[in-house]
This record gives sequence, C-alpha cells and structure tokens, in this order.
Amino acid sequence: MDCALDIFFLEAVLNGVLLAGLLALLALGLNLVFGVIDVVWICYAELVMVGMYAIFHFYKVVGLPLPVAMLAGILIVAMAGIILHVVVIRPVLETPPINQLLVTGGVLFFLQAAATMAFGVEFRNIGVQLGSVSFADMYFSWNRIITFVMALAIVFGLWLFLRRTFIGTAIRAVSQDRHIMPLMGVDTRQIYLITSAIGGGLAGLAACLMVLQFDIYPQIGLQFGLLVFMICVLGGLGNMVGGFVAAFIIAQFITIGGSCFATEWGYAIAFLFFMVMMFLRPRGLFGSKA
Amino acid sequence: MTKPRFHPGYAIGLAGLIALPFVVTALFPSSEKYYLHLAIQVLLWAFIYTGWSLMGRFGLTSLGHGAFTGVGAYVTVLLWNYAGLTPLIGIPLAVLLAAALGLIVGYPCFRQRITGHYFALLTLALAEFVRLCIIGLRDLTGGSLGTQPQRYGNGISLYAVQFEPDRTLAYFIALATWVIGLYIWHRVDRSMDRYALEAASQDEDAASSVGIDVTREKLKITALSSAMCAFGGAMFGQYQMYIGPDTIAGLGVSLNIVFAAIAGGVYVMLGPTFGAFFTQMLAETLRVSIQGSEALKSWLGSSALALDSAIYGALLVFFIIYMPKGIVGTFLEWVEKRKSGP
Amino acid sequence: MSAPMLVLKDVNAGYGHFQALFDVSMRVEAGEAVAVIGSNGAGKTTLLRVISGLLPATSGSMAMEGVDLRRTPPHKIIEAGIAHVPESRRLFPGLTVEENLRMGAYVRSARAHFSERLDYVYGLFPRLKERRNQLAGTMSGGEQQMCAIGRALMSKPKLILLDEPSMGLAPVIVSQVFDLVRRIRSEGYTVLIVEQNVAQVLKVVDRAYLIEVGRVQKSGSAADMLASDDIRKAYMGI
Repeated sequence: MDCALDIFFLEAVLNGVLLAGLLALLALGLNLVFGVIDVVWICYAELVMVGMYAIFHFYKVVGLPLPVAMLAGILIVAMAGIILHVVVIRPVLETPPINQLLVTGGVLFFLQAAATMAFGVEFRNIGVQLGSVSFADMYFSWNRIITFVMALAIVFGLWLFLRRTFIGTAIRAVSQDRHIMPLMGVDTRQIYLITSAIGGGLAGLAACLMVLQFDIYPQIGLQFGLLVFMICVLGGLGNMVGGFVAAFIIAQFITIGGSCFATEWGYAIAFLFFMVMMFLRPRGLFGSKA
Repeated sequence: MTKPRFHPGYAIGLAGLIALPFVVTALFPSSEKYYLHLAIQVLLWAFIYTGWSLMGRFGLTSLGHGAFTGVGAYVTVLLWNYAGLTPLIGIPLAVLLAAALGLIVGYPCFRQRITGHYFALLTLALAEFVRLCIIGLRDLTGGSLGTQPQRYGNGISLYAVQFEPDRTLAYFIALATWVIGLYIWHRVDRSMDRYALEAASQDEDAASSVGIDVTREKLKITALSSAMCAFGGAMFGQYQMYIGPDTIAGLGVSLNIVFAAIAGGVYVMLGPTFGAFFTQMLAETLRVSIQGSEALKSWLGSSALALDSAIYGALLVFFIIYMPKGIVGTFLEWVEKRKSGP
Repeated sequence: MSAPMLVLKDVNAGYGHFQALFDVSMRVEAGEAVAVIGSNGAGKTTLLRVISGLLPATSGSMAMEGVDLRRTPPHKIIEAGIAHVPESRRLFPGLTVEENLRMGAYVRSARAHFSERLDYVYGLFPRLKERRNQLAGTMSGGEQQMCAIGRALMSKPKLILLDEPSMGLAPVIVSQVFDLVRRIRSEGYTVLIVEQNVAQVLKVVDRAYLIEVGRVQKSGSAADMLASDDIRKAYMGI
C-alpha cells in the first residue's frame, strides 16, 4: 500500500481528471441513446472497439492518412448505429426494455467474436505517440489532455444541439411521449435513426481518441463498457453535464484506488460506489427524469 | 399448462438417465469418460440455469448470477485449502453466504422498485465487483489464473466431496443435483409464491394492493435462486478440480447463463435444461467440426474458438426477437395450439 | 363562406376485432366550430385519432380541403393544416413551456416563422410567457391546457382538433378553458371539439354531432341540440 499524500498522489488525482475526460467522452454517445431516447445498447463499448479497429485498418493496413482513417472510423460506427437500430432494436422497441439489453447482449458476443476472427487476439496499436508534458515532476500525456479538451467541447456542443435546435428538442421529446410525436409532424422513426447515427458517431469519435492511447484487442469493450453505463446512470440519464461529473468521480476512484492499492481495487471500489448510489439515489446524482 | 404430477414420461426419462452411463460405457468403451463429461457438464449447468430461471421467469432478469456461482465455488475451495474445512460444511456455508449476498443486494433494490434493465445493470455491476474482488485477493485466490482445491488422497472422498476421477460416480452426483433442482422448480411452481410473483411481475402496485408483500416475495426467490447457483458453482468446482474468475464467475458466465436459459425457455421446467443441452451440444459440435475441418482451421486459425461465440450472439438476437419463450416454450405453445384445434 | 374544410364519409375504424366507429359521416366548414358529443366510450376520441392518422380507418373517406387524409402518413397530417390537441393535454413534461411550443412549430413550414408565431402565442396567452422556462409537467391543469392549445397554434393550423379539453379539470378551470376556446374561435380558427361537458360546449359551438356506440345518432345546430329533449335528459341531467 502506497498512499502517501505526495507528488505521486497529486499526479494520480490530476490524471484522474484527465481520465474523466476520456470516460465522459465515451459516455456522451451512450447518454444520448440510453439517456435521452431510452434505448439500451449494451454493446456500446463494442461499437467503440469496431471504430478502433476500423481506424487501425484504414491507417495501418490500407495506408490512408490518420485524419482520413479517423473520419472513416466515425462514419463506419455511425452507420453501425443505424444498422443496429434497424435490425436489432426496432423489432423489440415495443416490448419490455430488458429485451433491448438482451438483444444487444447478443450483438456484444457477436462483435467480439467477429473482431477475434477478423483481427486475431493479439494486441494492435496504431503506433502514434503524441508525447507528454511535464509539470513539477508530474507527467501528463498529450493524448489525455487533448481528449479532455475535446470532451468539454463536445459536451457543450451536444448541450447546445439538444437545447437549441428543433431536432435536438424533438430527440428529447421522443423519450417523454413517443406516441404524440406524429401530431407535431415528427417522424418518430427518423428521430430514432438520427439519434442512433449521432450516438454511433460519438462512439466513433471516442474511438479516435482511444486509439491514440490504448492497444486494441477484441475484449477491450469489457474493460470500460460497464463503466460507461454506470457513468450515464450516476450522472442522471440524459444529463450530459451530470455525466461529466460522474465520470470525474469514477475516474478518481479508479486512479487513486489504483495507485494506492492494486488496479482491481480501484475498479472494485468504483463498482461498489455505483451500487450504493443506485440504492440511495436511483435517479443518479443529478437525475431529473420522472 | 399443468401436467399431471407424475407423468409416466418423467419416470421413463429418469430411468433412461440412470441407465445412461452403463449404456454409454457399453457402446463407447474407450471414450465413455468424454461422453460422461459432457453429460455432467449439461446436468450441472442445467441445475444452475434452472436456479437462475427461478428469478428470470418472474421478470427479475439478473445479469450477475456469475457472482453467486463464483461465491459458491471460491468460498468452498478457499475454506478447504486454507482452513481445512470439509466441503460438507463448506458448501452449505458458501450457499448461505451467496444467499446473504443476494438478500443484501436485493433488499434495497426491491424496496426502491429498481426493476427491468436498471436491475440488470446493477446485477452486472455486482458480478464484476465480485470478479474484481476475486482477482484483487490474488494471494488467496490465485488471481486471474484461478486455483484448485487440494486433492485429498486419491481424489475420491466423501469428506473432501471430491469425485472427479470416477466419472460414473460424478455423473450420478450431477444427476441427483439436477433432479433436486427440478424438484425445487416444481415446488415453486405449485406454491402460492409463484402466483404472487407472477402478479407482481405484471403490476407491482396492483399486487401490493391485494396484500402481496412484493419485496418479501422477491427476496425469497432471490435467496433461493442465489443459493441454487452457489451450490451449482461449488459442485462444479469440486468436479472440475479447478476454479477461475472467468470460468465460474464474472460477466461471461453471467451472460452465458442468461443466454442458455432464454434459449431453452424460462417459463417451463425443462426449458433451462434444454438450454444447457443445446448450448453444450452447440459448443461441442463447433469444436469438433473445426478440429475436423482443415478449411475452417486455416481460415480461422487460433480464433476458431470465437466462432461459437459469434453464433451464440447471433442466436441470442434471433431468440429474443422471434422466440422470446425459448425453444421449449415456443414448442409447447405450438403443441397447445395444435391441440386446441382451428 | 361555406366551403367544407374537413369532410368524412362513411368512416369505419376499430382496434383489432373491436370496431369503434361505424359509417361516420360529418363535415366541418371553414370558420365553424363543431362539437362532437356523446358519453364515455362512444368513440369520440377514436374519431379524432382516426382524423390525425394515429389510428387507421378501415374504410370510408376523409379529406381536408380536398387532400385525401387516408393517404397521408400521420406525421404529415399537420402539414395539411390540422393540429390536434390530445386528450389530457399530453405536454412533454420534461420540456419547458417554450420548448413545448417549439415542438409545435417543428414542421418545416412553421420553423421559418417560429419567432413570430411565438410572439403571437405569447400575446394571446401572456401567462405562458411568464412561465416560458417552467417545466411543463409542473404546471397546473388549466395552464397545461393553455400551453397545449398554444402548442397547436404554433403551426398556424387551419383546423384545430380539441380532445376533451375540460377533462380532469376543476369546474372553475373548466370555464376558463371554454373561454380559451372562445378566444381561438374569435381569432378565426376552425375548431372541431370533442367533449363530454355537453352543457358548456354547446354554448361555444355552431353545430354538433352526437355519437353513441360509434355511430352518428343526431346532428344539428347547437341551439337545436341544446333544445332537444333527449339530449337534455341524457346528457345534461335535466
């Protein structure tokens, strides 16, 4: 146990803040789909994995420039979101929501297996290093800093979109009363498709930033999939800012727990925290949905 | 659909199952261990799936039952390895502990009316929490590599509840376990609790307004379900003589349980058993055909094992959309429709 | 002057095996206010749902200024100029008053004029302007009704369908609601209003249809209907 309040502790805390940026970014797409239109994609992390593999493939195997590969990755996952909705979610939309969870659970198995068959179990890496910046004996990677800034920017952008535009308002309205949407001239099917595409696109965007920091392997979704759900629920479903705060709290548990004890304990404490919070405040820390 | 209690079909089936090991030994003298091993797997998992379905059939879909199988297995093995406590006491202790865990987590859940996919998410968190604790306590549990119960003597012992070398003995133990599981299902089916829980799964408010203590009913079934799964997990550990955080606990195990139970059908007594049979046969068939097929082997290489996962996944999607009552459930529905005529 | 706006001829509709409307024929002319009265379960709400396309008609014809409504998908009905204020208001509870009004202007044609329409609706209903940032779910029944009607007005409709606007509201609020109806009438909107409160609604409309067990039993001017003995006995307890 190594828990002195020294410079390493501070580094852990600050890295926790930066990790929060990544987790918050990951949570955004899911918060839109799960939090706003109330559709459960338990395979969301696997969609991010698909994005990561796509970027890897286009950059390293096909040889496209990295920005192009990343754009392709985003578009592919956006499409995957649409396909997921049409093929798998739509048939069970009018049945109890647990079915969405189970059906996307099947997709989870399938995507992990497909990735294994296509790319093998070895870890892949796109080999791009952005270096790090040092400050008072502490090191912070540029990757993480960029991710944090991007996360802030996108949270703000998404907030504007949902509050100020017609489509954004319609997306929020759909989860509150799906059946009267046609009376406002809203084609509900279209809204679900648009949201699925944006949700997928955001997952693809998260993949772009993940791919700079982590190795890619088929089971990677299991590392953060549940965490992302927990963050959405803890922050209050559909609450993007709440998600950021929840990401911050979870990230601190992970980094501080990880540096004081072993990695597993950081995560274990985070999961325990989630369970306890669900009991105390089932709506999440900032939840307001009835 | 209520079958008469001791349908002759059941007696015949049971007789057949009792005779099975001898038939298998006669027909396949060199590979009877393999076939019995398959049968034991099916029976033990069927017991576990049946235990899960006690909750699943009432809308309490838990994605975290890996926590209970894990607790059952690890507590038993650790008590034996470190405290020398015979599993004859260790297993009941592990079962009680798992039931307690189920109650501790279930109580706030049910009081707060956490249901549906929120309940499922919470159970996922529970399964992962248990798995992480198992790995975290690596000095005791061997971490991600897993651990083994210390072999006692020649490996066959009542005191140590070990029986792995004698497949026929193991088979009968598994068979007995399975039958007990079916009996428990049967008792639940016939109880008032079953109707109470069905009412609650339709409409909790309406159920409480007629005097059903919904929380209490849910807690009872949760304790039973977690106890059964813990027992199954413990027996599995004693049979395999190996336990690992991913083989008997964690997310993968939890999802496998759900998939198999749903594929078989959770509303019917033999549904989960069929699910066990179906998934084991699927896995074995795939494994054997991949071994046997040069084409598939070269195409998939080391990722060949992923193929059965891919098929599971696709099948789960298929089942939820088209056959939510599972294979057995849908089949029975079809039979009923034929019987009641056009 | 008397150009029929909405024309229904022999419309049949139902829910699965249960038929709710039998050969319903009616018309609403531009500038009129028409009521559909009848007891609970008579089919009144079903009628409005069929016009809005929320429930498909099994046979018959429906046209709005010549546009065949049966061929129009539900989310395009609003483009034909029909705005439907649903039963129990059905505001979006988690959205503010202004966001609910924005949803009313979602259609392309209305979006362009959003700010003008918003000012117009706030002008008609100043109370909504005061509460523009309040969550719709936290408002009182009467205010919600005001907001629901305002939402319908945002798309500059030609015909407004009002489904039981007084339902579930306290008597004092009920008369406020009927004042609202009088208000939109005086603004020139054509109104088709379904109501159980026969006494009040007949004072506000020009004509009325009586529907019972899914059929049009009686129709006539509001004055005639008010004077009719059967109606007075059955629906007004006189």
